[in-house]
Amino acid sequence: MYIEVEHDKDGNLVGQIRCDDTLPINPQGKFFEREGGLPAGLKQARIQLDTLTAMAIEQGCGQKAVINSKGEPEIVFIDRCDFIRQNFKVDMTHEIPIPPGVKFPRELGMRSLVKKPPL
Amino acid sequence: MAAPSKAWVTQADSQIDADSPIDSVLMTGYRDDLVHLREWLGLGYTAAQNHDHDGVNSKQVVTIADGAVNTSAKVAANVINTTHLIDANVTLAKLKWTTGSWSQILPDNLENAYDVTISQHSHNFRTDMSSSSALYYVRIMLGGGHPVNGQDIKMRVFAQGGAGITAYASWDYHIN
Repeated sequence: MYIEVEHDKDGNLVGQIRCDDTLPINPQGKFFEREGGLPAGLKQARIQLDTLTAMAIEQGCGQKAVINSKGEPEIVFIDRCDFIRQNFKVDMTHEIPIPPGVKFPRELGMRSLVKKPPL
Repeated sequence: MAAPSKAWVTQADSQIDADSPIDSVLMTGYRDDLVHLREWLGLGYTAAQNHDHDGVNSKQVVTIADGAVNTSAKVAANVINTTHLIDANVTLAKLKWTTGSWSQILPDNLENAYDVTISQHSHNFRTDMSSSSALYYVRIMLGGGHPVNGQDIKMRVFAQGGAGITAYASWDYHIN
């Protein structure tokens, strides 16, 4: 699972999110760009994902059987990007260094995700 | 399968030496051996020189043990090419694919454009919005020009809604 996001200075996922199971064929390619460039205040980052977070995302999205507000069983679809946006934010405490020899888009940062505190 | 209707008869040396009579025991034995061989080789099949198990001159081979076919035969272990696969037998279930997804919280009620890198082998594009209105839309335009084989392509997503509305796009693509 590969994730690229736009985030603000506090790590909030307020912009684009892109999830994929494979990398672009061009290893130096970004997952997305904006016409006109990034708005002021936003940064674009590729996410360094640990196994447990990837599993939490994978298991938290997709088709789910839930009980709706009327108490009836219902099948809902939870979008993967939505799930990430609602449950995670970018860890702004440190940026992850790119190992030597790894081709990586120059303009991107590499960050990890942290779980949002419960409301 | 049933055994041959005549058991094999072994002729003793004493039955076929120069002084032995040609009697019914000896001839019956020869007859039974011929029946035995005929039924063993292929009773119900049409005899052919150098039978080749084509299903007409002899029974087709039903099973071949794994790894028992050498590389000079038509099919060897772990080697299947396109000549072995009939088009009609390659179904969607046999293709490996996965899903890519993208979303954006729209900043305003203007049309915004986003360029997303996707696999050249993408299909089944879907779009959605967190809120619907006759004025809202998400539309996709694929990059122009002929894609170079094995390269990514660009997908431009145009989304217009309202501030705070989320636009979604997802697609399927083939993987190795």
